[in-house]
Amino acid sequence: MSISALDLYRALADLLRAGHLMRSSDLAATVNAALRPLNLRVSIYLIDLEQRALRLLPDADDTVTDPIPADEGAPGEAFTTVRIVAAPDRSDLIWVPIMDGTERIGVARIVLPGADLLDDPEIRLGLTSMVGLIGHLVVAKTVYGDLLRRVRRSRPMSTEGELLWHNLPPLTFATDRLAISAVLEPCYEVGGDAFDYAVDNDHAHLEIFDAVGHGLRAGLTAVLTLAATRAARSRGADLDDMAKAADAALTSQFDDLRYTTAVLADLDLRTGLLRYLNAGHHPPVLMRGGKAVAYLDEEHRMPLGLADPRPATAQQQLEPGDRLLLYTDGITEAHSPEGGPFGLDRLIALAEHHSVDGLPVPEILRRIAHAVLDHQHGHLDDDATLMIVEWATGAGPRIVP
Amino acid sequence: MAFEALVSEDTPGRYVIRIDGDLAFPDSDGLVETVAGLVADSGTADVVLDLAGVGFLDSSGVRALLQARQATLAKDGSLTVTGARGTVAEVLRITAVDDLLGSSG
Repeated sequence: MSISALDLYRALADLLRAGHLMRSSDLAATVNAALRPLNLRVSIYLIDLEQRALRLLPDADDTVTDPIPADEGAPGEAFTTVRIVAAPDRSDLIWVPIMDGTERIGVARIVLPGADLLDDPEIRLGLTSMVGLIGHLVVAKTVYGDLLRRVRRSRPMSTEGELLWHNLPPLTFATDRLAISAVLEPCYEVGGDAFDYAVDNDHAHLEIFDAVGHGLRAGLTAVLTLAATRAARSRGADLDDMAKAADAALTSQFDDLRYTTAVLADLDLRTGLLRYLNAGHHPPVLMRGGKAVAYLDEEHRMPLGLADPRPATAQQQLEPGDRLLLYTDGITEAHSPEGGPFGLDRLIALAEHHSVDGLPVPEILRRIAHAVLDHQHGHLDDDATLMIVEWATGAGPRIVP
Repeated sequence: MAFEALVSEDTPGRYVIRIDGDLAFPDSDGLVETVAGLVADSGTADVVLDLAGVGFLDSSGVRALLQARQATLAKDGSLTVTGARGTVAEVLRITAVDDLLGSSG
């Protein structure tokens, strides 16, 4: 039995139309209603926040299954490599990565009405378009209910985590010549770390933050810092003025020297010239050809919230293919119970190792985050954030299906 | 407390506080209380914090140093840091508070 391109087009149109009046809890059933005329059956698995397991978004016809480990079997391969993977034991079953742009949302398990249908490029295009639409719908509908958030959580979210995650941009963004990806741990208790970015025209703005202390107070400090720099940035302020805006916001709300260390950066996507301001933060690492070649420590000022009149903006020329590693000390200072911090050398070695493997940047980050957690036997004492920025032709296309 | 503070008065109004242990969350606020107590007792206080015995300093520890300094400045006193070494000196350098605390070099 085959399916026609016209049928696929009609199914896409049906799903788009149904999407207008859809609750998040209707998503799985609505997708399958649209695909029923084609004898296609889709199960939607969403990646959890810690990126460890793929969890079923159930509809009425699904029996709820155990979560699937994110790096095992055909579904794991589809998720980690961002490619369509055929089931090894069934010629009518495929696993398709679900994306929103370049953000990995999960995988779709699709049962086809016949074998080898994917050999037809029209059908392949129709199916990937359908899964693309599913990815956009998952993200669009998440904010209207709690269900999609709940499916993606393996345990309850803390107040500070709730506060922070709602203010962060998606973990990954990419264009044809730029890829930005980040991870934050521990997912459900994170509070004091944050990152931000904005890519418009020929500029990529990048920010990483680490607020003093722990828990909800640190979370409030981090979110306030992020909001102040984002507001300044979006009205066109330069790096120094973004820092001053954060100083003003923090000192207006806290009278106890509460501060946030940060790196604020502005990358010119045409020329590769990076301007950066380091406010008391660990210097970002510049990686070239898989090796750490420089630390961005030319200038620095005191952390945001401790007004520092010293000019602190410096610059670094990037070469095509360069990667920047921005991190907080929760990564490098994660201590194993046997003693010894995770360390910057290990971080650089892992980033280098996985780059050689040719893994997509979000997958490199996922693995490094898990290595940091495993180093500390699954329990982090401090928030840990890592962001990788790649300035290279083809950086983006490598991380889409 | 994960550190001990040994206070000695050099000359009237001038104190040396030797810290031993980790100056870090959640114990570092104790340092602020110690210094605030000195200032409350003696008015103007010039404090030298000897960090030679400190093995770990985190951002909460840095904040405690700055708050202790603020307590002395409020009564026209001063606070300087000395003896920082290894990762402790590195943290003061990275956070760029070393000039303010007189601990550079």
